[in-house]
Amino acid sequence: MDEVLKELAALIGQKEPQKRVDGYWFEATHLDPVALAEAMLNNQFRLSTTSAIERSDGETDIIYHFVKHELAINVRTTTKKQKLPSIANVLPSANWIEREIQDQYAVTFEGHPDPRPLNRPNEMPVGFFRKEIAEKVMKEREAK
Amino acid sequence: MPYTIPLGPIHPAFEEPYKVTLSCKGEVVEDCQVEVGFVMRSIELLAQRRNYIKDLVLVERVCGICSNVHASTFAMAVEKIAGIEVPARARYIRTIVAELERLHSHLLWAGIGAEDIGYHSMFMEIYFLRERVMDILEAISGNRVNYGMITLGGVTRDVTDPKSILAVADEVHKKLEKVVIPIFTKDPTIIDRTKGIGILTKEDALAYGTVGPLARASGIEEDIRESFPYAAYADLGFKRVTLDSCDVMARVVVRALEMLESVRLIEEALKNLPAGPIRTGDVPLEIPAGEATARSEAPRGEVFYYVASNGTDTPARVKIRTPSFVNIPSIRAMVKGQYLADMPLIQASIDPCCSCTDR
Repeated sequence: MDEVLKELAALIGQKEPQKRVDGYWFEATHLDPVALAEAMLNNQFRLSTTSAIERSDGETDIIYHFVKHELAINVRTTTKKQKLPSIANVLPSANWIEREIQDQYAVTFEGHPDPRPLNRPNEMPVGFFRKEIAEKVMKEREAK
Repeated sequence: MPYTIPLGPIHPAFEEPYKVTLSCKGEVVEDCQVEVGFVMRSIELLAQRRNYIKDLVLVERVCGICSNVHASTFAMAVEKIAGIEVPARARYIRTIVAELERLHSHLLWAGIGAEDIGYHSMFMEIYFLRERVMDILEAISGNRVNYGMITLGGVTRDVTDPKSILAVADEVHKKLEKVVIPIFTKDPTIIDRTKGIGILTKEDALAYGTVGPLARASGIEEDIRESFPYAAYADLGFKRVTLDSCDVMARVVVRALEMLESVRLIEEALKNLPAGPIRTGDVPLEIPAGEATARSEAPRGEVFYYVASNGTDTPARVKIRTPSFVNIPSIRAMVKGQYLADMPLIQASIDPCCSCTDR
C-alpha cells in the first residue's frame, strides 16, 4: 500500500497525501491523467468514478476516485481552459463518466474514443449543470 | 456482410428503456453499442437545490428497487462531513433494511431471470417468496418501494416486534434453502441455459470497473460489506461469495448464495438488536463546510456518493455513481461471439437498472 502511495506521490509531485476518514486525497495542479490511469490499472485499482465540481473561475475541478478493497485514493485536478486529456483509452470504465461530464459541465476530454452525448436530453444545452446555464434553462421553462 | 439489430429502447427483456445495437454475422454477435439516457431526471442537480433533509427523500428516488441504499449512502457521506455518530440500534436497523432490500432485489432478478430462461413455474415460486420479503419491509417501514427509513444520524422508525419478523424471515430462509438455491445451482434446465455464455474475464471486469455480483462472478474479491464495513457489518461478520467461472451461471449462483447470507444477517441482527435510541438528537440543519465520499454495497454492487458542503443547509455538490452505470458498459465485452438468442439472458445477468444509470 505504501509503495502505491509513494509511486503516486512521485507521479503527482506531492510529497504526502492527506489522510481522511474516507481515504487518501491528492491535490494535483499539473497532472498527467493518462499516466495516473496506467499506474492505477497496473496496481489493480478500479476507477470508481470521477466527480466534476464547477469552479467560480469558469474551470471545473475533476476528482478521480480509485478504489481497491478498503483503500480509496482520490486525486483532484483542475481543467485548463475546460480541457483535460481523456483516460478512456486506458480505462474503459472512464468512457461513460467522461461523456457525462462533457454533457453536464462542458469539459472536453481530449482523445476520447467516442465523445457522443451520453444522457443529455436533446433540448438541453451542453454544460446544463453549470449554475449559469441551469438557471437560464429554468427561467425559460418557467416563462413557458 | 454483418447486419445490425436494434434491441430497445423499449426492451424485450426489461421494463426500463435502454438501447443495445448489435452487429451480427448470421446468428453470432460481433459487437454492440449501448445507449442510455432515456429516463434522465437530473437528480444530482436537483439535490443541489434542496436542503439535506429534502435530499434524503429525493435520492431515495434514484432507484425504484434499491431505494434505501441511496438514502443511507447519502446519509453516510453527510454524517462523515458533520462528524455525526450513528447509535448502535440505528446501525443494526439500517443493516436489516439494507439486507431485506438486497433479498427482494435478488429475488426480483431471479424471477425475471427464470422468466427469460422460460422457467415460468420458477418465476411463480420466486415471486411468491419475494412477496413475503416485501411483507417484512412493509411491517418495518410501512412502505413497499421507498421506505423512508433513513435520516441523518439514525433511522426514522424502530423495529418494535423483532419476533414476528424473525418468524417470516425463517419461512423465507427455509424456502430459499429448499427451492430457490437447489434449482439455481443444480437444475439441468438452468445449467444448460446459463453455463459458459456471456463470459466476462477478470481483466475485463477490472478494466470496465464492474462491481457487485457481476464482478464477484468474475473472480474479483470485492464486497464493501467486507472490505470497508459500514452499518453493523463489522459486528455481525460477513461471508463473501466469489466465483471465477465468469459466465452467466456464475452470476446466477453468486446471487443465489448471497440471498442465504442476507437472511443470515437479517436473523442475526434481529436477534442481537441493541437497546438504545434510534437516532442522535443533535443533528444540525446546516452542515459544516467540507467534502466526503461514501461507499456501500447495493444489491447490484458498490454505490458511490461524493458530497461537498459549503456550510449551508444545501449541499454544494452531490455526485451519485450507481452500480449499473459501470456494469452496463461491460455488456460490450460479454456479447462478442455469442448467439443472438442468448442476448436477453446475457443482458439480464448483469441485472441492469436504467433509472439508476440515468439518474
